[in-house]
Amino acid sequence: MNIEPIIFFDMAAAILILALALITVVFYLSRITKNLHANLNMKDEALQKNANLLDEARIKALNLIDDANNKALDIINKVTLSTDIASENFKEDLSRVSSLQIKEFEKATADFTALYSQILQDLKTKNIEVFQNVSKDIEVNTTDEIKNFKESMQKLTVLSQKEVKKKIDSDYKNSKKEIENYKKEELQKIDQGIYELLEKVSKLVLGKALSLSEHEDLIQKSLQKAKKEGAFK
Amino acid sequence: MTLQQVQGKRDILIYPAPFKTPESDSVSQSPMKKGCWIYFDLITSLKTTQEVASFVSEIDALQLTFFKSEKISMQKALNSISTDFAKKIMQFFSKNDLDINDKDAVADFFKTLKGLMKKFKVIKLTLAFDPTRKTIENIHNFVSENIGIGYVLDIEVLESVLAGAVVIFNGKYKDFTLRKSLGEAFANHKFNF
Repeated sequence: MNIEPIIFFDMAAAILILALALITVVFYLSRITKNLHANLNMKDEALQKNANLLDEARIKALNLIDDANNKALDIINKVTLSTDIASENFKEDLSRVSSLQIKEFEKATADFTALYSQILQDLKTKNIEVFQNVSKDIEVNTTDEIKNFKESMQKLTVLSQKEVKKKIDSDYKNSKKEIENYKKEELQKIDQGIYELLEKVSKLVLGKALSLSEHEDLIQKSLQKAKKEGAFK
Repeated sequence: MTLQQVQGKRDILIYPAPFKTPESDSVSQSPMKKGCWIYFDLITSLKTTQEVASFVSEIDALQLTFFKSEKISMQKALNSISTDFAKKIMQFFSKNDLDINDKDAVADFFKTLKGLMKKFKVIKLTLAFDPTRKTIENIHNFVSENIGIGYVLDIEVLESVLAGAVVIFNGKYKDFTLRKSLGEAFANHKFNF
């Protein structure tokens, strides 16, 4: 196999260039690694320092906490004592205030009871007055109602009486007319009957019947005789 | 008998009690200028005590109706009495030119009429039969012409008197009946019988 010279040289040049680039990169990487190692060492030292500081701080904190606990216990004891004292005082005050309040309440209750009794009495008196007034009002109203009713009844009665009177008058007039007519008819019948009876009696006594004109003539003669005898003087 | 007839006859008429002549009328002091003479027809139309009593009753009823209210006219009030009496009263007012709705005139009319009716004298007659109206008129006319005016008849019917009349006036008793005549005849001639 034959390789042309140009290609060979090109290839040799390219390999050379690449070798150079690789060397450069390796160099650069080694430098970075060195820097990193240096930084890591520095960090470890700082960490050590920090750990020490933290330990110290923790110890100090523990001490502080112990102190604080002690103080807190003192305070709690003091507070407890104060609370007991305050509680006793409070109980005393409460007892005293309660007594006062009870007295006040009793007084207030007595006052209220008296006031209530007074109001109740006033109310009772007023109610009695109201009832009396209502009773009087009812009496007056009832009297008025009765009076009105009485007047109405009187009016109605008078009206009824008038109506009845009208009716009676009307009936009376009709009855009167009927009686008059009946009387006339009956009188005519009686006149005829009596005249016939007289005729019969005259026949029996006198042997002949007297006529009406003869009867009238006899009556007139009787009057004439009475006049002559001075009966009318 | 009408007013004219009586006026024509008044010289010859006898005016005994109860009524006096029109000129000397003193029965009523009525303010009516014509005096009680104008009542003649009305008065003489009453012939019996029954008629007088009935007329007084009618007048009372009329007075009660007429003076009960100002609004009631006499025409309306007259409806409350019988037609015969109402007619007589109407005739009286029309004949004498009087206002029938003049309360004063009507009051005077009633007052005078009642006064006159109290003056009536009663002739009691006992007859054998109940006389007809015509017979009563005839008897009353006879009384007016022969005895005088202002008399009324009180007729009693007693069939046993047979005929004639018993006349009783002012306590005087006159028996002119056939019964009495027969009784006397029987007493006088009983032996003949």
